[in-house]
Amino acid sequence: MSVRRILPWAMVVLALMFAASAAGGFVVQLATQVLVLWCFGLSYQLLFGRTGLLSFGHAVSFGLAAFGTAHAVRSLAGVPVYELLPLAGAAVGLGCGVLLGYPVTRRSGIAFAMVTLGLGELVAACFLMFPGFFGGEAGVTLQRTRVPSMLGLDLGQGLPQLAVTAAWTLAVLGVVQGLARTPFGLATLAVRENAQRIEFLGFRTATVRWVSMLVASTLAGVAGALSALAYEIVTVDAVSMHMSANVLLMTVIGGLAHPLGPLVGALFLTVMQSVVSDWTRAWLFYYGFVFVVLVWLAPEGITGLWQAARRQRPSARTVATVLIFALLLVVFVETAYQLALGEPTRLPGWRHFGPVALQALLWSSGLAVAAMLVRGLRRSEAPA
Amino acid sequence: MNALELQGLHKRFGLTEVIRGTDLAVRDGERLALIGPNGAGKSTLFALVSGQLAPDAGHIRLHGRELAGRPPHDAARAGLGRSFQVSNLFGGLSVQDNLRVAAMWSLGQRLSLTSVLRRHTGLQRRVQEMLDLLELGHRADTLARELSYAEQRLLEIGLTAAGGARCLLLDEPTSGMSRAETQRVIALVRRLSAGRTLVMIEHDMNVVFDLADRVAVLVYGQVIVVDTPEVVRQHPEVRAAYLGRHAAQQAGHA
Repeated sequence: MSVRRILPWAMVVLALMFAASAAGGFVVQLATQVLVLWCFGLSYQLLFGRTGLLSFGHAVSFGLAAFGTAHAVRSLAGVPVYELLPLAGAAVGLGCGVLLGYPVTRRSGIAFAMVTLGLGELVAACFLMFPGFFGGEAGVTLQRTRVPSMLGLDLGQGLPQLAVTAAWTLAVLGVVQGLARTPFGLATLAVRENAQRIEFLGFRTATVRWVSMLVASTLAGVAGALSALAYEIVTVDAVSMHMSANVLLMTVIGGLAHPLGPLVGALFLTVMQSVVSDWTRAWLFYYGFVFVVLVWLAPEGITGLWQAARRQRPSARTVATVLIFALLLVVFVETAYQLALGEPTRLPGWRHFGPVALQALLWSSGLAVAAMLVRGLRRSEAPA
Repeated sequence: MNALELQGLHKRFGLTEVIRGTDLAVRDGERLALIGPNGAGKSTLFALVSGQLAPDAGHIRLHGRELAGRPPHDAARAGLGRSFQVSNLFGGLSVQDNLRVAAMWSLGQRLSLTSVLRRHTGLQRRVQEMLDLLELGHRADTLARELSYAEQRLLEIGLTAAGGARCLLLDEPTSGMSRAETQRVIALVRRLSAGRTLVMIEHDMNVVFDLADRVAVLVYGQVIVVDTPEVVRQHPEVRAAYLGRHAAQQAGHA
């Protein structure tokens, strides 16, 4: 990985950190969260984007590594190895890849997806059986300051912690980018493109899939460790289906092919979760809706859309249509929520509308949204 | 010395026995055409040899090594390359990456996580050689799925040979091609098969007579004759199988 290639990414991360530190504690927290999710998403990109393995249980490596790291912090109290703690997560992730990856990667396609789904649920179901490891309902808490920094950083502060997270995320990015140039990297793409043919060229697809799973699990383990260190608590949510679904949604929204894809997806998720959720109770609806629309109309995700727009500028008409559609959708959803929940939305001016006006608004915007959706879908199916 | 030996091969799908005791010996370095009417079992035979299907009984030996029932990657590692009747490429990869994947294993670039592909000079040279042979140099960075039909057929042959397999099985390399394109394929196959063993399923008799040292005729899952093209052309059973009994008898009277 040449300096020239890593530099732009390093600048992205530095800019994030700078913006975060300028804005204060809350934003530092958000930036840390974005970086952890980016790291996790990068590992998922390798598995799904590159190798074509749709896993519904990727959080198993992430979560078990987070728990492992929490226990590592407890047993390493006083030993100055803080910056190396993500290696403990990597080791746990690798272990998951070896043990769970081996049987799982004997299959591909739907069977693989189903087995990972089941395995994820199985592991999540273990948390009540092994309270010593999972900490039961309450989870495991840790104090990261108990493991001193090797570099003398004050880890009680958010910013040094953010710096450690950023350094590890960049390292993971470097690994992922570097792997793309190796024989393994090309073999994974070939397996995704045509798993049957590569068998006739000397490769064993099950082995390629397994190695891909090993690497992805190891990197997910790093992300899990970073999350444990950032939040100082790990609950069963870390290994849950919910977490596995999050990494899938986020990576697809951001884009499966571009290294910035998971970052964009992580930013999107974090902004929705932490900012938009303050403003509307429908944030999860918007999040899901964006996912569905992207999968339908732009499977390359936001980064793919951006690249396409750079190749060919979208017409003013297209941009206007999208904006009008988004506006109508927001009006519809917010009005529906207001009517259903009986509490006023925070959209400016809405509180002055009476019930009749609200009903009229609901129906007109709803019909317009439906009409635009049908028209858009018809167009997307028409021959080019 | 035989490169490929098939002995008493049987393959049944449900109630239908498609391969019924096939014997065939392909000599090292020869070009053998496998012909036969539709449904004779030619493609099934290729599937058995390349490990795509496991035979119910019988032996498949490649340079003396038993391959019956072994998976495709074992056959490939033993030096067997096979092409497909319908182009079977890595559609989303560029032409040169297709060739790189095809040549990687045999050049020792397997699943290394540390070496950089494009710095491997042996592999780069092989890819360039193949691009030159296929005359696809100007399409090196085009995605395989964006190639024309004929170019895809050429790349299909390229994938089969890029790994340096000593024995090539080509399944109808000229199917669906124009006369000019067919000539291009014949020239390519002739160059690629130099120093290797070639078994080729082919319907175009001009191609068969142009390329093959010997012709094997497969009818209802059995090899009924293996001989030089001239002899096979005159063989009454071949004429019967191809033209029907009546025409063969008429030819006999004439």
